[in-house]
Amino acid sequence: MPLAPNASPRTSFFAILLVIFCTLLTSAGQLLLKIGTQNLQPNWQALITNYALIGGIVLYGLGAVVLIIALKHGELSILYPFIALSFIWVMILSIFILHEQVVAWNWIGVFFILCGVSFIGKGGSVEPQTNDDLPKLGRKGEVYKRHRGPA
Amino acid sequence: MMLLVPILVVIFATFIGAFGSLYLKKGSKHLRFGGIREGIESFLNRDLIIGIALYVLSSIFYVGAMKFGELSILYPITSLSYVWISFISVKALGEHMNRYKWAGIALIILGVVFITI
Repeated sequence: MPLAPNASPRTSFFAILLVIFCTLLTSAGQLLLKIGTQNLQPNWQALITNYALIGGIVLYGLGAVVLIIALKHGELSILYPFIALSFIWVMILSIFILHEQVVAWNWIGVFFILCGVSFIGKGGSVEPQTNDDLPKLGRKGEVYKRHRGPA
Repeated sequence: MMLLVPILVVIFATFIGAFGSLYLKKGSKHLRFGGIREGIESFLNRDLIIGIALYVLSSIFYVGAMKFGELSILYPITSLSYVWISFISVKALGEHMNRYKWAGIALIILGVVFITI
């Protein structure tokens, strides 16, 4: 297999925490957007004083910035699946803030998603993750290992 | 047939979104945190702009499809993006998938199905 020239750095725990923080931001943003679109009126004054809508958009933007910073410090195939946690946060927020009803199936879904991201995390700790992690031949023929700490 | 169109649009949106993530990942390499000015300038690199544009485009398709389709069917389909991203990470970024990661993807998709039922 050819070596990828720009292989991703190994995923740091910090990057995973950042993605989880991103999902919290976008879930809260989604809730605000929902509230904001409920009292949407077709005039500018109402639009620029629709704080829920504006807050939702700002939280989404912040979430995107946090996600991009996280991606710098890890692999896409590990970090991206953690975004699925937002389904859980949205469900919890819907129960407590929008007073929506959930059924037992939904909690089973929460359980599966938690198991899923745990498996992703486990998969991330099994070597090798990227071609960069494989031992390579150095210039003089000696095998060396790349530095593997967080970037 | 009427139901099929929103489904196809959502599948297309997951595809665009997955490539958006690839470009966000590529663009994130150019980020610098030296100073405020440097930080903001490093955010305005080509790959990040393409990534954000693809994301916005996919959201437009999502919102359009969600208006006309059944949410409990469309939401689980959005988790196809986890599958595309797994393939893209291997092909374009040289990352490796393993049994744990594929099992994780399968569990997440199952979870999304149950949570949106």
